[in-house]
Amino acid sequence: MSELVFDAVAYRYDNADAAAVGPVSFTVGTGRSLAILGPSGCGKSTLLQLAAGLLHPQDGRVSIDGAELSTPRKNTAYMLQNYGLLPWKTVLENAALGLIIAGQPRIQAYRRATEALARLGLDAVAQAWPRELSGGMRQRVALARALATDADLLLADEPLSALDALAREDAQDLLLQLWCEEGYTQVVVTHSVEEALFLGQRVLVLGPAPGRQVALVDNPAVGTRDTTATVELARDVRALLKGAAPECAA
Amino acid sequence: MKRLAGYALAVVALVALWWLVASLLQTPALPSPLTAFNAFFAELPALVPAAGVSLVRIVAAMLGGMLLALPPGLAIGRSKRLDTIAAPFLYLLYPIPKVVFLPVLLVLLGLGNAPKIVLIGVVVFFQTLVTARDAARNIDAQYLMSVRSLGASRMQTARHVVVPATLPEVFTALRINVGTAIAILFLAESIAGTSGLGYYIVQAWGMIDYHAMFAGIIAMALLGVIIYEALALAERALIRWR
Ligand SMILES: Nc1ncnc2c1ncn2[C@@H]1O[C@H](COP(=O)(O)OP(=O)(O)OP(=O)(O)O)[C@@H](O)[C@H]1O
Ligand SMILES: [Mg+2]
Repeated sequence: MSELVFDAVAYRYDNADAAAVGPVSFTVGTGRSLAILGPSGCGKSTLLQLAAGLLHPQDGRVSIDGAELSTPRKNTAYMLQNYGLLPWKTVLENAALGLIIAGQPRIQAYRRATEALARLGLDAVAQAWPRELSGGMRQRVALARALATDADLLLADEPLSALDALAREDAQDLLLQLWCEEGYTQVVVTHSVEEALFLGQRVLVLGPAPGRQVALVDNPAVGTRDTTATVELARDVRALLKGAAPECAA
Repeated sequence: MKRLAGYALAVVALVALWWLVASLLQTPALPSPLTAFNAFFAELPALVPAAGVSLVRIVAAMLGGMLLALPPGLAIGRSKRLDTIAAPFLYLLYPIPKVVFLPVLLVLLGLGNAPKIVLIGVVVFFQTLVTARDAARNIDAQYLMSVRSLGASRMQTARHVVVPATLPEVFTALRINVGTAIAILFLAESIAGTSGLGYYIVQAWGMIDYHAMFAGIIAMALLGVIIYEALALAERALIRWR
């Protein structure tokens, strides 16, 4: 159970004159997947931090399963823009961190983390340091951390932007597959229209700063690439993004 | 291995330079390296206990100063409110040369170990305090967010992020400060006291026994190198992730 609701949410950083986000409204039902798409600086990361309970909106309400979010919750897995792995912890320690912080005994935490790593094909690097891994592997470690904690809500901030094109498609497949198998609710931020349409059952399109909501597009073609449906939707979404961009001097 | 070779080369070069200067100056105040090293080995029975006393003092002072400074330094660095209160004190106290309080400490604490340990400890304390504060302020926000999003408490954040993130800088500062710490030790031992390498060197000097004096100087130099290397070793053992 984890339904995420943003109700007219607006956020402004201290000592910033304009709002970074908002007002934004959407609902992601339990087990559903939302992709957030928008130009750089439009407030996507801020929006995820609001959903993670790391920031609190000045206006509106963020709630999970009907309860207003006031602090980070332990069943939310938040994957930062650069994965948020701690360089001074090994892959295994990083994967187990959520469980350790939740107060689980070390042995148990490490066993569950080991299972999660194995599932993502990372057994061989359990004792490696994050700096020794490729971008794709780091991303999988962050996913392993989410799996180990039994997260029911995954918030991923541009989880694939550091990967090259080939690794990127694999990683998209992996994200989709895990979401299908695990049944958690998912919010994925991305710059790429194709990626948003591959991963999100709905796509939230944000305009340039201050991040205002341009559209919430239903995407029946989730999980497919290069079909007629995705190509057409991609064209529509691009048009929405373009329409939202500031007018250039004509 | 490479490290050792580098050390050997440096020692040879320095001894050669020393020999050159000594043979140019021809003064009893600067004996040739051979004479000095002979004296060093001849004086070993007296040097070892003196070096032991000095070693205990400096290790106690550095450990104590560092351990006492780390918690408040990190806390000040992580809390804007604490920093507002503490920063003016730091800016005022940090630049004061702490050595000038030696006479006060001698009056208060006598001539034994206490004033020496306290004086060096205070110097290391302030160095560590300032380093830890600055390092804690500059922790990458993504690491903090990463553990906070997992619901970490303040203590857990300190343990999993703040301490490990700042440790490398604290160690670097400690290593850099070994020289200062030994200089202060020398001063304190030579001005007031009846034991330690500083006392030994000044005694030999007073008796115009330049050979023994140089034996003491070599011992003090060795003490510095050993402490520096021990810190480097501890650093590599504790900070394996770099
Ligand atoms: N800690 C902060 N303090 C003040 N302003 C901030 C802070 N973080 C972000 N901002 C501002 O808020 C706006 C939204 O930033 P945010 O990082 O959420 O955008 P984004 O869509 O994630 O950008 P990107 O695509 O580059 O990751 C930007 O104008 C940014 O400059
Ligand atoms: Mg961002």
